Amino acid sequence: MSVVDAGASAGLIAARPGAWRRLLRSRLGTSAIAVVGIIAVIALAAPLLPLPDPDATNLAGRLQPLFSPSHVLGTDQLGRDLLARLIWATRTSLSVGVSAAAIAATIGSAIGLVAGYGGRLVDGVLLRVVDVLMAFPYLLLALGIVAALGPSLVHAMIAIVVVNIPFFARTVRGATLASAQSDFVAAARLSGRSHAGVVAFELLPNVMPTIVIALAASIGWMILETAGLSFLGLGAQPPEADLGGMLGEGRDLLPVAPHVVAVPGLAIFVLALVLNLAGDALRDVIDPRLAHGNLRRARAATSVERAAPAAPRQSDAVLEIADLATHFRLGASLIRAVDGVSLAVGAGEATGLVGLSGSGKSVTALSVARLVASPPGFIAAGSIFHRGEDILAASLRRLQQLRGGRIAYVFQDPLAALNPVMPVGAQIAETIRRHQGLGRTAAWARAASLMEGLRIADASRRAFAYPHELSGGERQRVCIAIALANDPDLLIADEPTTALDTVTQAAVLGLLTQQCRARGTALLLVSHDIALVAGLCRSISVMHAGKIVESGDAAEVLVRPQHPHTQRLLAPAVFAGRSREQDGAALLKLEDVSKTFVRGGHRVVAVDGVSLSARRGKTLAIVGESGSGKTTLARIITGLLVPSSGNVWLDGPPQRKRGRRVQMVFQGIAGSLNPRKTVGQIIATPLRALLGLKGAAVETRVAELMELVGLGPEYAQRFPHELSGGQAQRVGIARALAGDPELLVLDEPLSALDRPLQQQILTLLLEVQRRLGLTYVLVSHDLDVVKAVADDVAVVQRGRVTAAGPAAEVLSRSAGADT
Amino acid sequence: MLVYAARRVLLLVPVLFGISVLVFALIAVLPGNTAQAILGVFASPENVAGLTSELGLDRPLPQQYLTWVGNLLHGDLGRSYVLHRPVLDEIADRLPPTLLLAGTALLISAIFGLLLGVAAAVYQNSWRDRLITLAVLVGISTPPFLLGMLLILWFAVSLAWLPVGGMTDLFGDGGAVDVARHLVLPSLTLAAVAGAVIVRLTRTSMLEVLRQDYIRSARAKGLGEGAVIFRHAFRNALIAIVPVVGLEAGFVLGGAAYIETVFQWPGIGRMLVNAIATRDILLVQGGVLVVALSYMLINLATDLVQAALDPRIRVA
Repeated sequence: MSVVDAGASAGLIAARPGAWRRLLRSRLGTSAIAVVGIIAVIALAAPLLPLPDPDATNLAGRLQPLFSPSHVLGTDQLGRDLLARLIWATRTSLSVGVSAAAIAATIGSAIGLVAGYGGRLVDGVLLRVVDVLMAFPYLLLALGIVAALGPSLVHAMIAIVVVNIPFFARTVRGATLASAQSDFVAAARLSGRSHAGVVAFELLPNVMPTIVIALAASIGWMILETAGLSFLGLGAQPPEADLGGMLGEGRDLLPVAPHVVAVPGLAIFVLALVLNLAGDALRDVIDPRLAHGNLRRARAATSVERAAPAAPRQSDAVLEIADLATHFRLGASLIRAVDGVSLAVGAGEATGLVGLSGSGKSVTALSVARLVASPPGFIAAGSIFHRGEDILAASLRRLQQLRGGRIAYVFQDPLAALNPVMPVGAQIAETIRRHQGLGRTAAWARAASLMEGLRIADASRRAFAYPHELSGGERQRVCIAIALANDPDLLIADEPTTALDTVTQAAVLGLLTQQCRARGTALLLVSHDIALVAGLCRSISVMHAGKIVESGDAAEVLVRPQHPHTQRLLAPAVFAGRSREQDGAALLKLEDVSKTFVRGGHRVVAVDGVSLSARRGKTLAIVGESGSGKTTLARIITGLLVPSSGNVWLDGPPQRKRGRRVQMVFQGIAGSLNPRKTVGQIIATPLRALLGLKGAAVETRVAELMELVGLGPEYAQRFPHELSGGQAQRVGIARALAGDPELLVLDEPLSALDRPLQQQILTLLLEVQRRLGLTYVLVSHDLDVVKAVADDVAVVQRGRVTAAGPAAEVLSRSAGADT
Repeated sequence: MLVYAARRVLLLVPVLFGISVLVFALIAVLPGNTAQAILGVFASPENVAGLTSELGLDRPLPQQYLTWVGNLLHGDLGRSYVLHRPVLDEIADRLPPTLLLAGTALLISAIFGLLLGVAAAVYQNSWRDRLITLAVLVGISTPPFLLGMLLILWFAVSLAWLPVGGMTDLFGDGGAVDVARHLVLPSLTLAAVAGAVIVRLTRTSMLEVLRQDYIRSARAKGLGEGAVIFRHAFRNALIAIVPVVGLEAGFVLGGAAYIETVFQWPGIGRMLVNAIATRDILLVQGGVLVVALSYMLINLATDLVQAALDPRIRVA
């Protein structure tokens, strides 16, 4: 979770103006594009303009200066009119540069797309070829090619094309690889798209911005490179000249008649400059993240813009927050992430701050030491006291004494929170040296003993390890060691165990609270898990939409929640299930199915001899931890993966192409929807590709499907990023239903949703199953969900089925052991 | 680290093979009679026939390639029929000036590129940042040969502070001072463009790193901004910058062709341009090969530096 949380980023999207408006707002960019346009028009119109023949020599009138009567820009050493030559040369340079860029982009992008989508073998071969081309300094390679083909403008252009192909191939391959592994590609395959269709209609729209940016960036330099070859006499041959050729011809006249060099020199500089400016503007529009002002550097401390400083107060509380408001300025809009929060933490106490993502709890926590990224964040009102001292009025110097010394943090994701290129011991020692002034050796020894105190085995050796060499639990222990290193008064832990697995979570939390208690350090525990917080803290505050909606004694809040939002947070994880009958013949059968992958030279057995069956009209749940092979199994059932051995039977004979009979609802909601397609297009894909529907029939069916999953018709025109998590999952379900399947594979369909949404989607899925008589294969690790819907359960561990049978039986049997 | 270095060196083998095939192909794909092309249009038919059998041009391509590689390993790159001396001798004279010029240019561009890039990121959106950004834009939009000519016009012709060019010999009578005086303008010219690219990347890379979670962690420890920016941000940003410095090494090596021509610098770049004009194909082939090999070694060096900076690469 970054500083700007979910609610805030939703606002950011809403506030972002359209691409064209953004382009128009950049005055420099639009002027540059206008100049490029004017130059292009003049160059194109060259034959129509009343210009003298650019190649007509007149030795009597040679080297006439600028602003001569009949030659505005003077004449060159052969008495040719420089203005005419300049316009014709610009025409040549521009057309050569643009064609070279277009050809290189087309060939390079094609190579990049095929390499990125084609899998290991194709990728490997293409990449080797590109690598050999890249092993040469590109100008040298261009020289070599021209040497072999002989000097001429066309050959120079060919050389420039060849040396620039690797750039496009590499760039596009990278962008393709990122998209090719997305679920939306798998979803498109299930929707009936061919490989070529996937590349052309799913991947190309996604890498198009990358291609355009690369193209815009490269036209300028391709013109310079071609000009360079002509300058050396290897490109355009006399009397024809491009801008580089004009420069080359005038080179020796520099001291005598500088204008012969200055005219083409200035032209080539201006041309490259406006092309670069236009390219930058285009890039900013297409990829606003890279825009000049957008990648904003945060200041050392959150800026405070409150009307009046707080009155001083006498207090022993380690933390007192009063009416705090922290806002974000995003474009023209203001996001009130924290809006009037008051909270106190007594010395040595443990206090919980609970809320869903986007409630403002993390921003509140970060505001305490003024760590909210600023810009765009700022503290708009309120006060924060540490032992009576107003932190919002403190100097940066004082703030740096408090940070890490008196007030310490543990963040959510330890891998991101630790510097990847610094040994963990050094990262602990650093804070000790900063606040205790110890020497290097003493600080290092203290770091190792802290690590030992947090039960990291072999601490004095492991202190030299880098973050990536530690396990997730160990990393978070290192972060705790950093936080505790200077015995602070207050430790703020922001979702400290969310990134860890269940077993490690308990151990790390136990250590954290125990260490805080032992040192008398107060703890502010920020979490979305109210039950967990209630078990560790004496008092709890519940946040919703930037405000504290309820606070009080932990036990009291837990037992008698007053605010409806708290009640929803506490809503027992029990889903409305349905009655179960014990009949139905097998629709799907897996017989001794195995799947082996080769990863980094090692064979990994993901699925190992699995046999199971799903009954028609029923729900089979495949349960297992992450890494147990259940997702691989799900993809084998859909036909996205071909098993290494074994058979998959669908209602009778073996099916190689399960096509539309099996569809899938994916886990990564956002990832399974192509960001460049509208909801309507996404749902229409299987209708066209699998059912062969056309025209109005498609539109009617899309509307029916959207109604079935509870989406209003107005959503058809929306893009995935404009949907909430629940809406996106409804689209995923509608798409899966569009192909008119008999069996739906549901791969963790609820895991990315909040509890209240989970209930809604689950109800929808059950309703759809009842109405259409579908068979479900549900892949999940959430036993509450499984209990609510499964007729049969198969437990998967390390690629094998360890228990299978009717849900009630299997779940009660393994209740003690497996969960 | 040693294992990584060894593996990285082993990976040079396929690259070497690729380079040799491509350089060999320079001659093999020549249109028309290769021996004729090497000797020139005025060569007698007997000489052409002699060279054809000497180079084995009448044999199949794979065999020709093996002969060529075999000669290469014995240090035989053939003869220049224009200069009437072995290609290797000519290259041995021309390589040191090019390496000196390219090395100086790269050093200047890296030092100023990094400094200005960090400054632009740290003072983002201030007048300093805008000034640097403007300079970068001018830098990447100016063709190096044009900049070279302008510098000659101002500093050598008008002000007469520095020589116009025409360095003849690195180890001549003038000594180090004379070489340095000749080196200033061409190396600055080459460094301007390469440096602009490095500034641009350093700025973006620093801004990208400065928004990472570990920067917030560093601030949460109470570290001063100097430590945050240099100890934490800059070291991480360098990981992305080092390969680009390698890429710019390729630019200065190739760009030497223009600069050496403009400044009459006795290096390989100018040799190549002249050789192409006189159709001295074997000399072109040798020059391209040697520069490509130098570039390969520079890339190896940048890879090793990158691995030294980033422990995550070392294990992979």
